[in-house]
Amino acid sequence: MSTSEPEASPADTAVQPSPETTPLVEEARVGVSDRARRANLAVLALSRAARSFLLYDPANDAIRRFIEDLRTRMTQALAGGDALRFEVRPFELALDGEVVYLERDREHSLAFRMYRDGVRRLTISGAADWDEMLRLLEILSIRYTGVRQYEDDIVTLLWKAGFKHIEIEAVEGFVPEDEEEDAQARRARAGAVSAPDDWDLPLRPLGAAAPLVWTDVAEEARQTLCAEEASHFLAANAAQAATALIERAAEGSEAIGVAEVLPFIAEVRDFLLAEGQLEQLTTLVRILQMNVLLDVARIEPLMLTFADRRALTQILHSTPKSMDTPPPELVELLDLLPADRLVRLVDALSAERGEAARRVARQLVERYAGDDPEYLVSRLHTAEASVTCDLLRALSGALPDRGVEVAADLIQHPDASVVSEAMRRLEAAPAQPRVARALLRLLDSPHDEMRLQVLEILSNHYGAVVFEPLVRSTERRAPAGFPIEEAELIGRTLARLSPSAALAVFKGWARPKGLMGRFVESRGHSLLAWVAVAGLGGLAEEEAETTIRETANRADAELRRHCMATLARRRREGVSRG
Amino acid sequence: MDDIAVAQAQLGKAINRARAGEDRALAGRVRDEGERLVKLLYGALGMAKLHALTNRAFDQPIADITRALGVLLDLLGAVHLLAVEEQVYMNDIRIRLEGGDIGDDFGKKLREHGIGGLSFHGPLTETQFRGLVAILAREPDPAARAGLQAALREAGIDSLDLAGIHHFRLAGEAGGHTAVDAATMSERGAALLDEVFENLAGSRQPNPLPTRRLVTGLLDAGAATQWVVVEPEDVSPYAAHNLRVCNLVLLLGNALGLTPGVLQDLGVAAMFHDAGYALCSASPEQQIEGERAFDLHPLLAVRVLLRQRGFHEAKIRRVMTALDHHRRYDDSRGVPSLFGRIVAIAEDYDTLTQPRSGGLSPRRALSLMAAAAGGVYDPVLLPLFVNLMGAYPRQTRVRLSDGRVGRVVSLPRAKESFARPVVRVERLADGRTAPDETDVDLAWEAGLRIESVFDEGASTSIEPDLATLKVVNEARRAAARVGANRAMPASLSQVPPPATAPRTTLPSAAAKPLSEGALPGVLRDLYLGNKSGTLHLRRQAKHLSLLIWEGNALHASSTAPEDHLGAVAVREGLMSQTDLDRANEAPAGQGKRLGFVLREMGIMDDAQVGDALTVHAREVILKALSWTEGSYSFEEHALSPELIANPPLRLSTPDLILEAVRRLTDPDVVRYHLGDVDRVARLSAHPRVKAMSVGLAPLDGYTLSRIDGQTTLRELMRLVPGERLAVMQSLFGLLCVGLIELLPPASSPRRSGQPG
Repeated sequence: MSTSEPEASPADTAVQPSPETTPLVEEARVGVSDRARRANLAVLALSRAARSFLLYDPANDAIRRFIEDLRTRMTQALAGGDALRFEVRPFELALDGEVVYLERDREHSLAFRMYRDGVRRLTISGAADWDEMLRLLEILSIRYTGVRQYEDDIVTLLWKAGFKHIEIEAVEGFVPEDEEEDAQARRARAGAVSAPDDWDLPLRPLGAAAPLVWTDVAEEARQTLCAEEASHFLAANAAQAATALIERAAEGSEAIGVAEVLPFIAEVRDFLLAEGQLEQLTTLVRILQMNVLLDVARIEPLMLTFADRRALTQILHSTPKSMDTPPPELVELLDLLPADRLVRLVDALSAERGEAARRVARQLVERYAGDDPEYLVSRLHTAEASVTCDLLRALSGALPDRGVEVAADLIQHPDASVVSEAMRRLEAAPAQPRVARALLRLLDSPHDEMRLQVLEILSNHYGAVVFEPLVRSTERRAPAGFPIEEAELIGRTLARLSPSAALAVFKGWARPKGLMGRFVESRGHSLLAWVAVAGLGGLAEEEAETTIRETANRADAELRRHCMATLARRRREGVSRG
Repeated sequence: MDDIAVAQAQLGKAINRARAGEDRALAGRVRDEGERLVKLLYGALGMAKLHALTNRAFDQPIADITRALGVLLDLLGAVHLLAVEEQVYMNDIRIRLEGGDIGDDFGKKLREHGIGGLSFHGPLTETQFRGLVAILAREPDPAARAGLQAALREAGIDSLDLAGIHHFRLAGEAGGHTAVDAATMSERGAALLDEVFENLAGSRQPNPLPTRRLVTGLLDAGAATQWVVVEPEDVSPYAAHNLRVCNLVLLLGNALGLTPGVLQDLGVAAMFHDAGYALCSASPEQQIEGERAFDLHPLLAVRVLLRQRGFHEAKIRRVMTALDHHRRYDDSRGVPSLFGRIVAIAEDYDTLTQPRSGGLSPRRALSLMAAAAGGVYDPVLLPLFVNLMGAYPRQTRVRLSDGRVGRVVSLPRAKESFARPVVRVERLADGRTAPDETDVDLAWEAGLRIESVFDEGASTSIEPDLATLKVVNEARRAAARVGANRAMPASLSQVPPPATAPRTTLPSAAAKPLSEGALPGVLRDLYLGNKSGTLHLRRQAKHLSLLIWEGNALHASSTAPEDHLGAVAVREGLMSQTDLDRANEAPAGQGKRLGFVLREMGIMDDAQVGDALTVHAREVILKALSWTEGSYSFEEHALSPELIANPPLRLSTPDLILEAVRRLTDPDVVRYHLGDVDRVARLSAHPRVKAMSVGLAPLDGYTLSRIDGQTTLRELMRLVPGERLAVMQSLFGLLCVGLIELLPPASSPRRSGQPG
């Protein structure tokens, strides 16, 4: 059984393999002494952590657990203070001759990776601290990547790290069998081409000589220079390199042209995107734009990739959680790249899950909604519910009227969240007949909350124009019934919409319609009476109070209580004119 | 965030940086396509045993192989397929060849041909792939790899290189890179640099890893704190330059305080900074030369470097170094990158001190550069560099207060030893050669000091002779083409000596007393002996030196101000004092030869400068010829062409000798140097004499006509008409130039009846 973790897709956070040691098939043969066993666990933890970056996103919780496990195991292995001196064999690591790691699968074997890079001994001193361990982990993790570069191997990476408490001994990894023949073949090739006879001439002119004296160079001055190559300046340096090359190509140098420079620009772009370096990205796009005429066919498509879906997804993904508004550099970037930006933004928004990122994306969609509102509308109707909500908000923010129209259409949407969002848009919108119609239609919604919300909106934003429709709607729906809360809200709403008309309606609802009506529509009538009482409670006329009392006298116990409560509320609120 | 979260974030950032420009699936795609390529190739090799390559059965497999290679080249830039024991690797990715022993068999097939792998640097057409399969499928060539490479070339397959058979180096096997000494490291480094240059000229993709290994090797050997480069013999100037520049930048970078990783990148950047010249020389039909090459090479280097795919911090640094290494610190476009500024210092120092391009003394070069801090060079880096090199930089030739002469071999070890270096004594005070590696550490020798520095003063820069450089380099290339180990032609008379030929011998003769009239004979011996080296003449504080090349005087110099070129030229009426003052004061001319400055300023043209140089040299030599006391010594050494003045002097040693003899006005002196006048004179049969061109006076011609191999000098002095002194001068002159020689007394045939 292999020691490998179960394969998982990088973005799949659902798979959470336990960092606990999976029993090795050969564990029984690996590590006999306590020390060896501890070393075995430590090495397994190191190997697992290093390979985990191939499988998981670095931010994944699984990575965290692997790192924690590594710290624990390594601390235990180094607890005695003795150094761990590993002999590196093709598939094994041995500690004082005892095998403490064995993995024959070349793809997974940490030992094999190190061996073929030429590492023959790895010594971790008892004084090695966590920082050094992390750097070792970083090196072993990085060594699994970087396919195209041929830039580093484990030996050169370990050298770069400048470890104080970790040492390696290394030889060339795999080597020619006949080094002399190999060297001869190389020598035979070399020398056929040589530098021009006068390379690096003419000499640059220099002035008069100065005496040679010792100068004390301040530490601060040295550090200032060293800082120019600090890791955190890499983005700026990369952008500077890219800019310099574009400018050279623009100067028309015969040595380098746009075709050679643009692939490099693309690499720098990817790096800046990975680092979330918006300012540098924007600078680069500006430079490209200034020089687009050099080769429009190549440069324009490249420029677009700075804010295509992939790029925007990366930018949004790196948005800090605390960010409320789009970064100015991102806005500038999009302003520089107008083509299809709305499409890209909508795509990016659709792909994004993070709250802050969605927020930023939505605001950007709102900003550029005017580019093509109808495109936005078309996406609204086809997107998934949460995206639809965001797009509706964005559209409403940019083009309120159009947003209201779309919201009015969307209130028939099968998804409650969409309807709710549409309702919010409508609530915020000024009163319009179309909206009113749409709202009234919503009174037939099966969702109680929806209907209540509609009634609130009608009550707060509309007037007598919706009175009659509301009356009809109420009468139509009463036989099927609706909650008491809704009945009371209808009553209050009607009273507010048109007090004078409401009194007449309420009186009609409160009094039974003849003997037959009393029996045939008792259920609906009872509800209408309830509505009426609730509404009458808000009317100032004495007739309203009279009607309430009369209704109470005829009503069943429940309705009577409602009437009495309404009367009491009237008195409390001073509604009566009497 | 807790510390684990911080670690996770940092690791994530590092991993993302390492992956920048590469999607996560890249390795998988490479593995898949690589497996496809290997299996197809393996299958085609098997099929080739059964069918001719023209069989249509190969159509689809060859098309598939061609496509697979194209995909891989798109992904990787260059495809390196290597079979190591039973494993197959493609650009460091192990190819899984599940099922059967394909990997092992494939490796065996390659090994039959003496190869271990194939490196594709460009796409192959289907026809070329058929050719490749045919070549690999046939019986191995007895010449193995070389034969195979030749067959590929014949088949028009130029973008494919063959790798040797590799194996995993076992633990305990010799050859660990940390165990290699500096000399071996330098030799390997030089070979690698030449190979890299060749590859880049051949449109190959740069492969930084071997260079990085070299740099770490140099660093392990101590290159950050001491001089470790040992220039191998017969190394190309380009490789030597890059090795030296690398050592210099590592010294400077370490002094600055760069971290190990950054230092390593700096070393690699230094190795590639002049890579642009590979493109200048790539095509014999379209060589880029001269100023155009100089102007273009930084960007050409960038073009080469950008062939490497994938983003990497080190690549950015290399690109900026290539772009910036000739830019001034105060460039109006902005301050160059740090690496560019560091390499600029190292490169210029090396270039100034190399004979090929200036030949300034290290001390002089450093002094000129020191004055340019803040303008040309970084104002912090340059002083740091001066501190590193010291008041007497390595290779400065000095005379100690006790008369010994030597060369500085150390860098300052501390501030206190800035002006008190270690000197390797070359010559003792009495002129004898010092025992090997006699070092004097002036930091510990309070009673000793450096009294003077050689090669300082007016003669501080030497113009490169580009024509000679061209000849030398062509000879080197020709030697390489015939597979010689870059050996130079046997006869130096065919081709001037190599540009970088070191002084292989110390002064070969002890100083001898210089008596009146002795010098012509010395010059004759040097001329007829075809000697090359430096003839030193000393009288009290004055020191004259004559540069002799194959017996001819090329250049003369003197420490006496009145004997300098300018003074002589004014004295001889070849230029005015005003012009001389202008030339001496011109800032642009500081540190350069006067002849060069005069030409540059338009004061003289080439011909006039040639005349002035000739007159100057003649005056100096004749002055020396007139000395009646002093000493001389001849330091034989191979002459670097760069030391040849430009334009060449129109001086004939025979003419000089004759003129010198004619200036001997004391008849007793002339008589003394004729020696036994009863010896018979005969015409010389020396081959050099036959081709000699010398301006003979009429008397000389008549004297020559009376030489018959039987007449003695005494008889000739009677026979030749003219004043006795003039006749003696003529005879002495002819003897000195070697046109006549005297037979030993016993062998002189006597005419009957002639007095003894």
